[in-house]
Amino acid sequence: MSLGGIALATDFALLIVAATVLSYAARLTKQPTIVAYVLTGVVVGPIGLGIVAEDQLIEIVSELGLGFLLFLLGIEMRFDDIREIVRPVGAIAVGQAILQAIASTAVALLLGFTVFQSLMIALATTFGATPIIVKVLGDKDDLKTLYGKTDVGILIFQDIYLVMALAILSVGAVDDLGEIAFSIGRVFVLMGAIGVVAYLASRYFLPALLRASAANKSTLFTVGIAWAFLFIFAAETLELSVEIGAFLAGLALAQLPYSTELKERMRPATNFFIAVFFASIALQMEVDQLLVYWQEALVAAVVLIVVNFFIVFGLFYSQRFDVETSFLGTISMLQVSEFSLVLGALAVDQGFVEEGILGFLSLMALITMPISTYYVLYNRRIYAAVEPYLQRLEREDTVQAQPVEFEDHAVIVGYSRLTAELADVLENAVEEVVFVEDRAEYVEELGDAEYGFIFGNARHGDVRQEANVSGADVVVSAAERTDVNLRLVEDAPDALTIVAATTDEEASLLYEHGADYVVEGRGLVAEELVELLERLDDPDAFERRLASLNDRARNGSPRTAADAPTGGETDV
Amino acid sequence: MYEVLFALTVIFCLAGALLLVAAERGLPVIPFYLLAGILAGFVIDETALLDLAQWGIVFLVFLFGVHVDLEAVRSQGRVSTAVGTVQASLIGALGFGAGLAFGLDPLNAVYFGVAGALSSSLVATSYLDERTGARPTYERLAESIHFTEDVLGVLVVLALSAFVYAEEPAVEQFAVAAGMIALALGVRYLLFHRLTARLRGVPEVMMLVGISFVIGFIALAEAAALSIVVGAFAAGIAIADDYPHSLELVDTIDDLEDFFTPIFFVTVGALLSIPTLETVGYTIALVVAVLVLNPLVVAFVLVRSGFDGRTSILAGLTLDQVSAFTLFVAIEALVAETIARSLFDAIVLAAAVTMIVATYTGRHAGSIARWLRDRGLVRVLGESLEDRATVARNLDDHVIVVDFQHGGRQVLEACSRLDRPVLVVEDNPTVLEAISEECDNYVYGDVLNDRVWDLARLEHAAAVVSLTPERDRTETVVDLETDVPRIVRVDGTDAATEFVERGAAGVIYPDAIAAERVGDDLEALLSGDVSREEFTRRGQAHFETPSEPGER
Repeated sequence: MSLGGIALATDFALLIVAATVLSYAARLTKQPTIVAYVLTGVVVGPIGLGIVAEDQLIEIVSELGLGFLLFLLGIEMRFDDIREIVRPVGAIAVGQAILQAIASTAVALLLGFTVFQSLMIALATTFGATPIIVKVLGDKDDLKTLYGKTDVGILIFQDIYLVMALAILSVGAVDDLGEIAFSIGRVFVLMGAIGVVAYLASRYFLPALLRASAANKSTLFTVGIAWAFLFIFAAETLELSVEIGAFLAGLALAQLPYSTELKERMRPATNFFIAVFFASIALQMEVDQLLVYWQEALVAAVVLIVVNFFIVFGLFYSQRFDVETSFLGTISMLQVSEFSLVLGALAVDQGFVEEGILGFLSLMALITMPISTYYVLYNRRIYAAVEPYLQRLEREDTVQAQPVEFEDHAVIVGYSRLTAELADVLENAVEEVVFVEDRAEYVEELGDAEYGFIFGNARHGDVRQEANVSGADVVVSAAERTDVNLRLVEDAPDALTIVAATTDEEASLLYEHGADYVVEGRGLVAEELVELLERLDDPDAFERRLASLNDRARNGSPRTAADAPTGGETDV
Repeated sequence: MYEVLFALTVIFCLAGALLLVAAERGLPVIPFYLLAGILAGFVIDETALLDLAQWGIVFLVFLFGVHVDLEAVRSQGRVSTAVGTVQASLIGALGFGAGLAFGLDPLNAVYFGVAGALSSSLVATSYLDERTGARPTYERLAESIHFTEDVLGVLVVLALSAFVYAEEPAVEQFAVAAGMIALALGVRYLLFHRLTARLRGVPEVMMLVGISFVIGFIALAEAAALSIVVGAFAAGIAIADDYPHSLELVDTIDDLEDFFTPIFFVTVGALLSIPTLETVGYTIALVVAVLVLNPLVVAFVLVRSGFDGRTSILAGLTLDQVSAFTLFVAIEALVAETIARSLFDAIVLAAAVTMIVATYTGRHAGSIARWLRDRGLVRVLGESLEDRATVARNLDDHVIVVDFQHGGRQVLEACSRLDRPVLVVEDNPTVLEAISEECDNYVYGDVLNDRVWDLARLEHAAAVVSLTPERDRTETVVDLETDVPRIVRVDGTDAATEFVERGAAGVIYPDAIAAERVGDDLEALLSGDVSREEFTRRGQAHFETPSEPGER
């Protein structure tokens, strides 16, 4: 043992620093960070500068990253989100998987790959890239549009497909056909067993467990991680792939109210680890392995983008989506996904294919992802350009966009006496009132109330997005952190914003950033006291005033008899 | 892979289970992590985790650096710096002497002294959670004393790395470290905002920038043969934690820290071995030093520098636990193989014991202070009042306002319009100047002290308004034996009912008051009675202080 523990990890450090620099550059060019990560491995690994080699720490962290990535994927699988469009989405997803697999296999065969290699390539290239679709559409505020929801729905179906593929690949290379069947059967039985455990846990055990852990900021996170590790470890022990264990662990948590907050808390660690994973892919590759099929990769990228466009567009159209939705939904999906690399890396590990195929997949990802970012970014402009040609496809009776979950609503951050009373006032003025609260003691109360409820901390972008803060009519926040309130005010520039502050400086700052009304407890209390003390010389009036003050303090809101929480928020 | 995965699974499952117990009872988490470590020690080989544990140290110290509020320290740190330094050097010297007397070699005696002297709970625990505005004087005071001690902790680590762990002990190390801190400050004020301006809304890249800072500064530290702790601290200083970085960078790194914290503390626990008699002896000595001597010394120095007895004792009581920095020092020493195994065990045990006891004393600090006052301790420490009270000789029919900081100032300003004399009772000497500017009558002191009420001419007062958020002070005000109506602040309906029954003439529940006023304004807006501009104007009117009409 020596103090040089971290010094030994120079490789790791260099990798992180390089990833930071490149992802900074990616940000400036609006590229998804994943492209930067993959490039990081290319630049610092044996292909480029050759200053970083894969060491044990990198290996562990990237393995963890993959596990966590699948865990988050599982958590994000909220069936409620796609229930209303599940039928068309399912049809598109299944059709796309089959048709694209056929097309990819054909293209790969034509390019001279062996049958086995072609099947591998087909298996790996049928996914849409979540980081691009979710990130770019999220930035464009398009996730709640019909095409955005459909794409996200398709991605969810693809996750299931991915887990199956992982399960099959994890069997490893075996020769005998009977053995293969046995191994695949074993994998699915074990997966099923873990799945049953996960399902039972999510019904009977996890709600109480998470409710208890949500009481403390670190506990929820630690318990969540422990849960993930338990499944990852079980999968590893049973010689399944750790990704499957992680995915099922996440799935068990997904339908619980705590999932968004937990997901957001896990995201930084996952992002950090996953950056290492993607960067490490190219670390194992030599130049010739990456470039051995570069011509094929170029051709395949172009051909598959074109062919897949027609496949997906046709599927969308056949499910009675209108032309615009079909077009926008289709071009978002046209790229090679990060999962291609996940599957490719696993296939190499298991000895199914050689490094060259992983290089081929990496190249395709590096070509299609950056390009697709731009056509997703400018999808509406592209559509405007091609619209005249597509016009004759227009028809009546298409799938209509369901109203998004929260619209023309009031978002209330923090449950307290103040916000409960304001909710009563607002109730009739807005479509819906949504509470955002991350203290566990109110979960049941808010879950039962007639209001919408999101468990989570408003500091997380995803929580604000889920509550659709930017589309809200009214935003009320009793959050103690001024930075959170500032962000809420900025997120909803047009909404009526009522936010709390403790000091005059904070209040001024919030007004400067556009808050409509700042609740500053000290000022309000002083006002009340002045009115009280004015009456000191008139004992009767003083008594009456005190009595009404005390009644208000002891009883709930006079606006309704409804139950108000008994804790205080406004600070004095 | 399998070993690491197994170790991580064991660590997180044990930590998760024990954290649930801790959360249930509201106990501090670190002792439970250590306990988890002791259990985990039976099944895992901790050397596999030392790498990750060092990352844990790095993140904890880094975060400490990030959260250092340089401006606040500059503005109110003088007293606390003195107090922290006096206490730490006194107990440190005593501990060093005691260590030598125990027969330890000088270096181990230093470790012993450090363990006894440094107290802090800031790293990894309460630092972020309790960022509420309504903080009593003693907490603010304690926070800056803790900060002083944490800085002393950094200095200790630095000194050890310069003189003990370095191959060639050298004073230049300090200059190098100072240079690194200067560089960090330069980055913070000149570069950081420019660098991150384009990363708004991309927490992912922000986080990587933060981690790269850590790695970069650690690399610098290693290149200069300094401890990585120094590098991590400098990296933290280099990062500004104001808005919007607080949301996108600092919170993200905090979440990451939650991953490494259990690993660090559980690993520490896993390194424990079965205690020998020697270990038990050291542990008892350390526990006595930390639980009894530290609070007493701090309380004594605070009283002598003008704080009232209650504030001094409460501030002292927050310091009755072994510092997380001590654990860093111990781990580094263990890795460098310079610490006696029994002493290492004693330090970890003492940390666990004191942290658990500290929860108890923290919860019952008010009654402990009262108990100590009744036993005459405050008098022994030398509390004095008279020189800090200014009361008009014939003050009559006045309103006594307890606690200037939590709304008292606004009441004062408002009362000046009412033509009613006001007297302020305050326990924070640092705001006395502000009080004396705004108000003719004030008494500095502790509400527990009857003398304070005599000086405040309670029997001649028209009303007492207590705005303190601290429950034990509120109770004291309600329980005063007098007919003067007492109006106290509460923070819930249950407390409101309780205090009215107990004799309070009135209760101020800020949230209920806010609900009424804001609710009225909102109703007026929604019903179309007022325009949106008028609504905003009403909101501003509530916080415009009457005496400063021009200021928004």
